[in-house]
Amino acid sequence: MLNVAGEIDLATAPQLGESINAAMEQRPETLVVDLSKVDFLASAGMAVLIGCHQQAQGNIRFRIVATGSATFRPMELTGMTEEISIYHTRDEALAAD
Amino acid sequence: MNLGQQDLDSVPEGDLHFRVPAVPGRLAGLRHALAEWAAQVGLPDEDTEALVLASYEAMANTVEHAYHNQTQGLLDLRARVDDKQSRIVVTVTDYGQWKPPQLSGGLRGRGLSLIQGLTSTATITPTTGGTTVTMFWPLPTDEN
Repeated sequence: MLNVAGEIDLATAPQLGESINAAMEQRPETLVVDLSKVDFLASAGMAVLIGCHQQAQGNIRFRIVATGSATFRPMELTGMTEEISIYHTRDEALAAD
Repeated sequence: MNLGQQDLDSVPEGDLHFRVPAVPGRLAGLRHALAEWAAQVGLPDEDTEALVLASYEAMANTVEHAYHNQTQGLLDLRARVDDKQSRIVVTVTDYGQWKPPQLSGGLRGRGLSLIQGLTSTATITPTTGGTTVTMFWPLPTDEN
């Protein structure tokens, strides 16, 4: 479980990538990236999330928690919701098969 | 807090104008100033969120693509209220040459598709001297 907070833009997206990569190095079965406390998500952040998801495929189940207009809506607009498993709550993300 | 160089010569009162180097670190300040300005002129919160994200994506595009031949260039963010048409006009201008969006598995070009999803009114006007992205948001009107 990785909790992310604040704003993810061109300047801060690399830090997000580093955090996710560090978490994936632990080789968890499932990695949940919780964006509930993120109040701004730019396409640079989405690119990082997609890149990490691609890296995880086959090895780690990569899931995102997101809700609302700051995070879920932009991801929906770019079609990310069709590529990556995105849940509205942490409980749903953890409970899913 | 000094967010950027405000061009005071020709900015009518109430308009927003920032001219900054096109680097990632300067964009958050502009984004926050734009959000504050949009709220002040009466744009509803949900629309402000869309306006700020779309404008940010246009600015990020400038930072990433406009000045690939140079070390650094400038970015102009302007916002004003068009009273006659009851709308906000936001423009993001650079003075470089856009690289065409790369086709690399959908990771690039996402910013532009995001802008198009957030507002149906975005236009991109390239010239030999640079590119301007223009976006409009309707303002609520008083109806008696």
